Amino acid sequence: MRITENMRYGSLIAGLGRAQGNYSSLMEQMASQKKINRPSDDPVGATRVLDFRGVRDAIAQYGRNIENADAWLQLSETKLENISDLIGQAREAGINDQSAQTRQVLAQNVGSLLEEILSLANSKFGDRWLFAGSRTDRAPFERIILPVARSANGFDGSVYSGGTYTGSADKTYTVRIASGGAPGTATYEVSDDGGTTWGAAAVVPASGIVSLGDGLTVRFGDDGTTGLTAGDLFYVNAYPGGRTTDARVETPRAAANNAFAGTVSLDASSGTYGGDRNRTFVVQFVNGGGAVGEADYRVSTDGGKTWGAVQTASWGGTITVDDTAGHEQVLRFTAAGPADGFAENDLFYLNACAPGVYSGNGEDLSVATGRGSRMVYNVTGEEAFTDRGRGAVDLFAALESLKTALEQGDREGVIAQVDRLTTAQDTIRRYVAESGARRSSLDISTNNYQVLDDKVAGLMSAAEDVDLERLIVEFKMKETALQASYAMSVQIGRMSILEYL
Amino acid sequence: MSGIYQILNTAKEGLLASQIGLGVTGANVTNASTPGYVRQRAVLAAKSPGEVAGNAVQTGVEVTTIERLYNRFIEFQLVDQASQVGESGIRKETLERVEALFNETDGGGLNELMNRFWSAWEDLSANPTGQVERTALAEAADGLAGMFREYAGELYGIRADCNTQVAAAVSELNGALSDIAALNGKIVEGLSGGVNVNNLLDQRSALLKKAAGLIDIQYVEETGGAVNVLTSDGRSLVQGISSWQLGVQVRVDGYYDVVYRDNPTAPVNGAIGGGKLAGLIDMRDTTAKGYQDALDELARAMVDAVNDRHASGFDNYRNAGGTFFEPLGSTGARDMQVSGAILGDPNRIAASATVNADGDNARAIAGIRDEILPDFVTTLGEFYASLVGRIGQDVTEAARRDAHETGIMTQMENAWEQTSGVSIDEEMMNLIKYQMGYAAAAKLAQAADELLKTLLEMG
Repeated sequence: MRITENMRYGSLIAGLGRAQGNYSSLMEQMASQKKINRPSDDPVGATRVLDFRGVRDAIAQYGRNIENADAWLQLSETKLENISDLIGQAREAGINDQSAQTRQVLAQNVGSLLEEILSLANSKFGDRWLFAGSRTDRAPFERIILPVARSANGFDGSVYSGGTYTGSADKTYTVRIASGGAPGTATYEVSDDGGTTWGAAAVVPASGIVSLGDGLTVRFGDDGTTGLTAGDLFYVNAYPGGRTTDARVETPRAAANNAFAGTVSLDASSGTYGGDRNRTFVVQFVNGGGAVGEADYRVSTDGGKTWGAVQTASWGGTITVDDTAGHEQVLRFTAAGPADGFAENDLFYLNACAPGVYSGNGEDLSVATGRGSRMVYNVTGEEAFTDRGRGAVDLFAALESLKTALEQGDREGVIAQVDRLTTAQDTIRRYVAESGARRSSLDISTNNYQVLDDKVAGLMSAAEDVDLERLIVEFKMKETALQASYAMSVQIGRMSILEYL
Repeated sequence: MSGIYQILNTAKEGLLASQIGLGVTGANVTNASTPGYVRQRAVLAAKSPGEVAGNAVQTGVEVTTIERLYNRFIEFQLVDQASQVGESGIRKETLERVEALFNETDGGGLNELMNRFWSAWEDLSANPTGQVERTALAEAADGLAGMFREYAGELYGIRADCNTQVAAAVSELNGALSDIAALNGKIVEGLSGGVNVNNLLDQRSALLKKAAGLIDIQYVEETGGAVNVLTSDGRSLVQGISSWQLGVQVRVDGYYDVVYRDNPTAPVNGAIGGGKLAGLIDMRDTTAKGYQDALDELARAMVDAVNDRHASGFDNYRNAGGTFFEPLGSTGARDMQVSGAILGDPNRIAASATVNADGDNARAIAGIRDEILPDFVTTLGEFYASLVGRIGQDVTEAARRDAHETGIMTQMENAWEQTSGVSIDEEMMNLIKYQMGYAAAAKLAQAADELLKTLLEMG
């Protein structure tokens, strides 16, 4: 075989290149401590590493979600425990009611407990109310103006306050039924000084709504079995800024980015809200363009989750969002100018509250705690403190009634309210226990994720991290090989006949 | 008397032959490192015998030819292998550029940004009215879209670069082909005139290899010394002293088709089966395009799925969600953008399923991470991971093939060297040999001279 100069030097250069390539590849692994420095180093491994990273990222995210939910639950738990304790104190006040002298003091105690519970029920987590469901624009609870029926009354229907109290001081109204009967025939008298002086007797209107003065009204519901009876007494503690308890419909509002520049209002034809839970009605304009009365729209009765069919017929100027007979809710749209029309996605909403104290809603808040699994982390005010939805007792009505019963010396009433508070306390304790259970289940998830994360980290490390000892040995070997190549390249020049001529 | 002159003549021929031998050795030694140089050898032959007193006597030496030592079969294989190496080399080079782009091993790539994007939605679902969460999400989305744009843009750039190289390779090929045709003319002419054309043959061999590196060719040698070059499917590229030029033609998608200049409407891309051109065309139209299509598919699925859900939710202003990402046009991931409205005001992000703040829509969007969307068989993250794996696999395969082809090339070059390469050791021996031959011939002349002197003194 003839060996030529090109062959000798060519193979030497190739050999040097190989040795240097091996050496620098190991050097890269030493520096990065990783076997996979580019996808082609191990395509399958690189894919697995990316998958593992995705899994670990998701685990970290679920961990963060769990932490958030846990913090919320922990705060809810504390607040609910505090409320439960305060209810216990209010019950004691009721049980301790023994003499007329202590009664007023106890009533005052209950009043301040009520204030404390109210502020606890309005607790926030960050900028969100703990017990408002998904509503964020309004505190869920306010001080209420509650008509309290004396326990000895014949009338057993519901009584709601209405209107807006315009007085500047606290005042107690007393309504006395002068002659019994159904609304339309029964007569009543009103006293605003605790029963010392009475106004002239008047007929209870067929609507059941009687006016107390200072803008305040009381409505007798027709849901009882016994009608108004002569001698029935109702006490109403009015506070400036206090909220009345009859079903309420808030002012309709336009979403902030609407094109429509006109106004939306509740039409005069609207009735009281007849639903038994708080609701958000939504009107959304679709297809874009369209004048008042002509634009296509659709209506949602659950805040926008589900929608009715798109309405394309001309609608004058009003849209009925709730067509419950006798309780229709009608929105009236008034254009600001001749060219004022709706654009696609213009949205208007209306919050309607069932009778009672609560302004929030019954919506669950939840976060993902795993692939395809979620955990509800809120307790709604509805279920904890009202008798709506899943709730059992209207806590604030019970407290207000207890206070009034103590003030009025209605012993039977006090006992009845203590019973209601017992139920309310049980309900709240149940939610404390439930929050604890959710938290411990989150705890278990956290631990499981910790274990899983460790495992995935181990797999990932096996796939991409270098085995340092082996690497160092290999590195030494390649280093020696490279040194040998260098030594040889120096020698090769001498291996020629020229050295001997 | 004639005998002594004969001896002198023989000595002269010996001197001359040694001189030529030394000259050839010198050429060999000085060209020992010249690429493509084929070693030469002076072919010596004894001159036809003369007659001295009726006896046949050998009378001297002559250089019949300067032989070019080469093996035409190895030459054929080398030209063929040049196509393989040309193709595998450009594939490896281009794929390594793609790989550098998709190198996710240090993090910070598309994979990480996708994870960050989904996480930002989750964070928002836990606090749907939070300004920090909204801003973080808008930023994560913008970063993700930017990364998609960067990846797709780079891939597009790599393809455009391949395209430019196609045009450059075609003009390089045209140059080589017309040079081969020109050399054909000179070689045929030289051979018929008995001129040494060895260096022209060397040049032509080099050009054949260069052309083969660009496109797969076959060639045949004619008896007159010309070579005819054909494409692998039998179309003529060089015929004697004429060559057919190739050209490029811009097609609908803006890329070049390779055509014959005299038939510019008939692309011959499909007929190119090797060489750098085949590699470039495959990268541009199939392999890199495949990656770009996959990236586009991923971006499109993500944009559509997110937009679809986003539109069914409500933003912080209680309006229904608009588009989150700008809808993708025909340019695909290269123009992925978060909607300007969202970037300008993160309160436009529709996090809730109702006009109240429930965060359910953000959770639904974050859920896309774990979902297998229609037309997919894996989640989007897994789809991307498998794209990276596919690229890694392609690079591994291309590198392996390139190493293999280069290895074969090295073996063939060694085989070529064995026949045609210059060995200094051998040339040194030849040098000594011719040097001694020269000295011996001179001695002979001296001896003849003395013989003549002796003879003249006798007279």
